[in-house]
Parts: sequence; structure tokens; C-alpha cells
Amino acid sequence: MNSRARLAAAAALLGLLSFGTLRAGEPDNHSPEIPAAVRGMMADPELAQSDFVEQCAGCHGVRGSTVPAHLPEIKDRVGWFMCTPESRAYLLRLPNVAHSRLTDNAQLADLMNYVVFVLGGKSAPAGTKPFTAEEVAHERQFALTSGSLQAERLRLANEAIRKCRAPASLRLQYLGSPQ
Amino acid sequence: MKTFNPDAMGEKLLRRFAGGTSRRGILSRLGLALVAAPAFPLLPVSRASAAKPDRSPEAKTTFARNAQSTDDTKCTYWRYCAIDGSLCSCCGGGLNRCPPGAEHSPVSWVGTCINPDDGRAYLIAYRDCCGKAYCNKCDCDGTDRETQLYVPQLNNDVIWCFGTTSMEYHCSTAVLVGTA
Repeated sequence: MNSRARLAAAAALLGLLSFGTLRAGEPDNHSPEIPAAVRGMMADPELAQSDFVEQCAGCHGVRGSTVPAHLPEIKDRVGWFMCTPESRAYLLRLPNVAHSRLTDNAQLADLMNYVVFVLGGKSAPAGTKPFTAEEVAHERQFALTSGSLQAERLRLANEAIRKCRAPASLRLQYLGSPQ
Repeated sequence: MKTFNPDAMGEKLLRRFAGGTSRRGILSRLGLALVAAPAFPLLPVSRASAAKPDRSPEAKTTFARNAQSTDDTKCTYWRYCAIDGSLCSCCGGGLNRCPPGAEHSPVSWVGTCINPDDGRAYLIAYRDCCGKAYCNKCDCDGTDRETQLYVPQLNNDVIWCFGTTSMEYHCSTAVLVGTA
């Protein structure tokens, strides 16, 4: 290693360290690593991640959490909604999913698999099958347009608690949320 | 006693080869290749590269054509292509940082801006800093990819002070959150 390379390495290290201290107290701006075990569930994991950041992360956060904003927290919880065929379909029928600007169903399936299996962590019940383009194409015809989304979410959360042993806190938007 | 006879061996080899192949076969194979060749550009590898977004100067917005990457206290700084409000860089904060006494909103909207240094598109989160009176310095209004208010997640007029203790708007940051 010559002296210039060593200098560059030292500068990079210093930059990394000072970046870390600067970031203290700010929201986390970095997308999570995509675990190797779930990469196979997406045709293009990197595209799914940038689609999520572009289309969803403003409100839901790059890691799926913007607590204490009044939003359902995705991080480590969304997978419980894969419990029944009905609650699984609910995730695709949510207005901002069904009416997404992504018109390619395979691309939207990738995005939702990123949400469930990467941001949702280990919350999806064992053996859960990933979303497919055909499933997305079918369910997005039945976008939830009328009725209370919060009431529907609560009903399906109660079902996941009963049938799949989801934690009782799934009823709340996030742990410690007032509603 | 039979001796080594290369001539007979060569003849035997050639005759066996001629018996097992057809002279017209080469014609059919050549024809097949000619017909099949135009189908190859339809394969995904070629389509994926063709689908890359056009980022030539002509395809860029007016903002992207005039953007710079040196001064983050000017409206023309590349990350501000869709910001609306005071720049936190002018109010005692920075590109990613709120000024002292102001609080970062956890939610924001996400814009797409092109960095003039590498010509690539990046995703920028316009996080508002809240809980202090309006800073009112370096007011900028970039509108790249912004849409009407009825698509609130892509509108920059919205004050994004949700999940903060106060909804009072102070200034906006432009945080790099990913590549497009």
C-alpha cells in the first residue's frame, strides 16, 4: 500500500466516523440490507428497494417505521397480515398499493415482497408464499375504495392474532400508539 | 499379418463420417440461424438495457440542466429540484440537519433529482424541520416531478410536520435516501 492509498483509506475512515456522529438524532436514512435468504422472492431486489423508497418511504420510512407519525408501522409486523388469504389480499387492495403508479404487476409484486419479507423481518408466518404478478393483477381490481381502512385493518389484525398467534399489539398502529 | 495401413484407416473414417452426415444439413442449419438471429434482441438482457431512462441533456428538466453541486445554500443546488420552502442550510442547519431547536419530521415526500457530477438520478427525501417560526431565508421552489395536491404524497406544498410535537414549519432539508 503506497502512502497515497493509505491517506485515502484514513480519510474514508475519518469521514465514516464523523458521518456516524453527525447522524445521531436524525431519522435513519439508510435502507436495510436485503437478507440473502429472501433475495430469491424478488426478480430484482434492488429495483424493489428503490421503488419502495420512491413510492412509499416518504410516509412509511426507509426502514418501515416513522413512529410517532400516525401510520401503521411496517417494520417487523406487516408479515402477520400474510396470515389468511383475506388479509393477504388486503395488503394488495390498499388504495395506495392497488392504485400505485407502478403499472407493471410483476414489479409491484416485487415491491410488496420487499415490504413483507425484508421490512417485515420474521413476522410472516413460516412457509408464506411470496406475492406473484398474477395475484397482484387480480387483487388490484378490488381496491378498497369505500369503508373505513382502520376498521378493516383492526378486523384483520384480530384475525391474525386469533389464527396465527400474532402479538396483541398488532391492533395498534405501532407499539405504544394511542389508537 | 495385417500391417499398419493409414490409407485404409483414413478411408474408413471418411466413409463413416460421410454416411452419418448430410450435405444438405448445413443448408438447413444456416437457414435456421438466419431466421433465429432477429429474435435475440427480444431477450430480457437487451430489453433491460433499452429500458434505461433517458438522462441526456435534452431529456433533463430546466432545473437539472442548470443544477450545480458546490453550493447548498443556493436554490440551484441539485438536491433541491423539488424543494418548497426555506433551505435549512441558510437557517443554521444543513442538507441533512435541522437548525438547533427545530425537530425533524419523521415523514416527508420523496423526489427524484439528477446529480450533475455523475448524471445519475437519486431519491431525495424533503424532510421538514418543525417547531420553530418560519425561517424565511433562501426561499426556493423546485417542482420536478411534483404533482397536484390531490396526490399529496407527490406534492411539495404540503407541510410535512407530522409525528412532531409541533406542526409549525421552520425549514426543509434534502436528505439522500437512495438511487433511482
